[in-house]
Amino acid sequence: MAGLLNKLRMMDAAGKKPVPKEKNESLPYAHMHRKDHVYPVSLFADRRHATPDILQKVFECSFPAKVTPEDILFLDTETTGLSGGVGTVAFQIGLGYFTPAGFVVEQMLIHDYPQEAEMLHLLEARMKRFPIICTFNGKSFDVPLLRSRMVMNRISDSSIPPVHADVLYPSRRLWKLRLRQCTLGHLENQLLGVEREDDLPGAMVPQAYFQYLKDRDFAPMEKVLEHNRQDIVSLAQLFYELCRQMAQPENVTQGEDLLSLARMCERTGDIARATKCYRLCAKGSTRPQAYRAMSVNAKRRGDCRTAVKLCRTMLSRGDDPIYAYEALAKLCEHQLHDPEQAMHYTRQALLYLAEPSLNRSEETVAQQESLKHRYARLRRKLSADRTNSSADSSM
Amino acid sequence: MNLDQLIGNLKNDASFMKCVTEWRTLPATDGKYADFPEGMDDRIIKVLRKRAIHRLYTHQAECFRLAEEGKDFVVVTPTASGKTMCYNLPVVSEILKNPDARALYLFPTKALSADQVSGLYSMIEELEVDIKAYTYDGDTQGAARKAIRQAGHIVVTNPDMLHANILPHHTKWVKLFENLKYIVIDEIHTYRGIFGSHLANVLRRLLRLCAFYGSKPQFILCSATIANPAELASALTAREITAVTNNGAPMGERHFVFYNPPVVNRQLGIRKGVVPEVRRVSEKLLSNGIPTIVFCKSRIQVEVMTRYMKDCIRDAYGFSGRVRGYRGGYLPGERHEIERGLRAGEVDMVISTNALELGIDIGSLSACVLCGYPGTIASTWQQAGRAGRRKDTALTIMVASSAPLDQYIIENPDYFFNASPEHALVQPDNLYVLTSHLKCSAYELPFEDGEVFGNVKDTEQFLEYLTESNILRHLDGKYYWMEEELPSGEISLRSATAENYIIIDITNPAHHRVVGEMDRFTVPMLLHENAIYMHEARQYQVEKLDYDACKAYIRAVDVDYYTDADLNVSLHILDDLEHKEMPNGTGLTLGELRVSSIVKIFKKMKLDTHENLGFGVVRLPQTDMHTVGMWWTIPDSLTCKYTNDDLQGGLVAVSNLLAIVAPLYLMCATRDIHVVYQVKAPITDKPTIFLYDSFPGGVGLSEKAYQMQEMLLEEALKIAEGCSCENGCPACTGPLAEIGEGGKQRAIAILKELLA
Repeated sequence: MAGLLNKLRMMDAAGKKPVPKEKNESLPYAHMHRKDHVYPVSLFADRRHATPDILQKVFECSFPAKVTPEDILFLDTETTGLSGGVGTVAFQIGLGYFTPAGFVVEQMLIHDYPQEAEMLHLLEARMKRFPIICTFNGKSFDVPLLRSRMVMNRISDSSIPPVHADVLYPSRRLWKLRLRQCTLGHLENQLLGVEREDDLPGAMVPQAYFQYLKDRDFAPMEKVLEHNRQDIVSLAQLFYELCRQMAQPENVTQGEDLLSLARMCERTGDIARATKCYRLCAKGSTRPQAYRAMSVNAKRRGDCRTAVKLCRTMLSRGDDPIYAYEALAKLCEHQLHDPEQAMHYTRQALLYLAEPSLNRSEETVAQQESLKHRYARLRRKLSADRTNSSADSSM
Repeated sequence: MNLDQLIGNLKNDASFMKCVTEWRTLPATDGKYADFPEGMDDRIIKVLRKRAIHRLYTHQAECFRLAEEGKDFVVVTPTASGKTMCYNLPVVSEILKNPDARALYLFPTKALSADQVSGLYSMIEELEVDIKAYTYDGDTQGAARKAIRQAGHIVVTNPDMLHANILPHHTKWVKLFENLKYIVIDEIHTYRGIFGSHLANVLRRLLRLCAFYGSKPQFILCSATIANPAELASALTAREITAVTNNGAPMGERHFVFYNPPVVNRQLGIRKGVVPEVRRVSEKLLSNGIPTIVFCKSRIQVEVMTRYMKDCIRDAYGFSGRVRGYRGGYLPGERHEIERGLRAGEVDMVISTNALELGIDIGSLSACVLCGYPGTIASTWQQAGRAGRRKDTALTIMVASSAPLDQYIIENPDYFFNASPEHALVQPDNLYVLTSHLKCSAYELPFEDGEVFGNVKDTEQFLEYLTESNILRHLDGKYYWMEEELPSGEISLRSATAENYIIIDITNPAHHRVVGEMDRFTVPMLLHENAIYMHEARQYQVEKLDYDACKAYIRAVDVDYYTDADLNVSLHILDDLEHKEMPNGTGLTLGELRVSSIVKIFKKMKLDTHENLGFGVVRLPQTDMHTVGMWWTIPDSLTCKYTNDDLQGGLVAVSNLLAIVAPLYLMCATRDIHVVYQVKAPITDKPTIFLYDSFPGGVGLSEKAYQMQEMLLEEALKIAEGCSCENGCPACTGPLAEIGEGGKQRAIAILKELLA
């Protein structure tokens, strides 16, 4: 049947040259590559901040009543592709966990596909010991991929820890406003000051592995391992950095981060902590947004006095006066029933909006329209009130 | 007038009857019934009784019995015969017995699956049980997908979705694969040619995964009437299939009328156009308020006819909602609205492409008008079946166009009524298709040494090829996937090769839009630079063809000429697969061919007069296609009496005749096969007529033609002899100018000698 093979070769429009068949069809290595590295605990922010309460606020899911650093398994994988289908294999798994000796990064790398089961069995044994798993984007990538690999190797996936703290999502919530970009590399560079030298870009990892399968030159794999180690250390550092900032907003220096932190607290219903963060914004560039948010919160819980006070403070500082005047107008009209004052504030807001230097965006035009409506309505109301009261007095 | 009165009226209308070449009345048939089968769940029987169903049709009962026995089967049914019950009853019954059981339903289109699942819902609702049936397709929301994967008892999807979304992510569907009991495939007659060959391989992949997860599902298949339902079903599934053909549903009296538009120019054999004639006929039906469906050939025809019909009934307020158009390209909401209107009787006439030929529930209409012959016998019966409630009279009027195929059918009604419908052919072992799916399957689960993919004996050869191409890695008795990307992404189930060219309209510089796509082998003919490309009746000029990037850029123009590329085809025989010698010395061969085509020039032709306005040069590389073909090698003893020129004319005529006949018997579109002749073929050195599949790798058409070659020649002869023209016309041998003086007679003589 050499005929069929030849036909198949001819069919190839690109005319790929057949590669000489590799002679050794069995594996030269009896076991996968394994190596542990230990890092000092001093690399990480104060780990006591990671209480269940703080973790819940950061990750927005429930944690066990007691969480010690030894409960958390940090995990990152290197794979043969990024497509996420069942044919993608994790050829390298890195695990990080705290021991009395320090932070251990345990790495496994399979020399070829048949060793996958060996690696997954070891992973299963490790995962069983931990109630919490921590990854970067593992919710949509690493964990489903490993689950899929376990199914295909007929290994139960029940060992995967029940609680999953994915650092990507809170990182976006906390730092995206300021840093714009939230890849692990960018975060570690900006927040942890890590400068990777001679790093292997993630996109090149699959090809590097395929090359290793062909030429058995381990040097590029050392680079993959190094890259993976750094990823795991950064992952754990970011995990504690998130907890620290949530636990101690007073030590957060960036205005945008404080604002983001406040919003995170609002999402989990912790208004007190949110307010604390907003107040901390008073010295920074995000003060207008913070006061605005606080006034909205005050109004929402029916505390008009505070809302008015906050808006007045904004006016006294010249922070976002159009918003402040409009908010005051609304408060006066609906809550304080003072149409005269409401009209005054509406007029002020309109005056600001009439400023010729103002950028005529769609938004400002819409705002202007709504203010005009408000103004007209208030006028009608006032003149009606006047007619009524004069009618009263004439009686 | 009601339909019976109108039929009487038409029969007395001399101007109408003079165009009628055949009026066939098919008598009404009674229903055949059977009691509810023993194994059927009482809860189902209760629901059926509530719907006033006290017995099943015999075919429904037989299906239930076969399913219970664990058989794989195909049920062949005309429209409106209670087909969905043939699979819903056994599937629901199984799930009631075993709540873990799962079923997978495959429909060829999204519209069809949405329609069928709604019927299933209402049954489940009446049963008041917790059976979850979901459609899973491109429209399914992300959040719903997870629920379907976990909990869906019945997953309704299409082959494309199965291929690209479900199989490559099978670990998310563990519940489905572990417990898969039934695979239901409806409308299997649509899976012929390339689409069918792909489906057969998708099913090989599916069954391989089922085996991995430890399930062995049963097949329930449904087909419209074709010649070989069990053979097709068995080719698609690689299982032995029982055919259920005893349709038990009753049917009313049906009238089938063949209508040939009057001749307006006798010399040139030109008839009145099909569209104005269909308009005339449809107006009669519409003005009498008879619920009618009009089937048109193209989207543009649908639009034109819809406008005519709407104008005809528009009231003083401009309202014309009783007439609706229906075609692909309408939004789903709009289509559902029309379907609902039809069922509710709010719409009197719907004008549709063959989109409504498949089993979408539109209730039953009374009359059907076909704008031209639908192309196959099976398709014609499908479309005609849209008219006719179970007990009432139905009328179908087929209006012929001037195309050769239409004229043949309309002039030979016996052929249509007596011939068996066409064979649906698939070629699951097409090298291109098979290799593509082997890659997908290897991605989904590593192959092991000695493992066989479906029933492909040479699996190992393919794996070896993929290994030497560095796509797989062979180690310790297994083949591992060794690429980054998933292979299913670049394989479309609806074409043979992945390389499709997209056509981009750049008329509006601010808004480039993709208007279509075309396969690699047609591109040099129709999309070379400066070609005039027609799309939806608009003219475009090809501005730039980026051959490497597979893109053609076109711009709208308004010119009075069209372009005709001069295609040079050379055939090269790669391999003889089978050969036999006829007693008269004719050699008959089935083999593999390399078809090399190159376009070097194109002609600009004036639109009405077909004058040649000049030439243009095309600079494109030659394209090679490997395919399967069959050829007649004509011995010198038959041809020695002709001069070379005469022989050439005769061969042109025979080729043209075969090109008309072959699609009739092979159930394919005219463009799916090619017939070419060589006066002196390089290999055989003798006059040779080739017939080959126009798909890379072949889809089985030539194999079939090889087996039925005698019938093809006989039919070709019948057309030539039966045609009233003297020296050849477009409806038979081709016109005089093409075949030369006496070409028709020589074609008849050659055919007779080949058959001798």
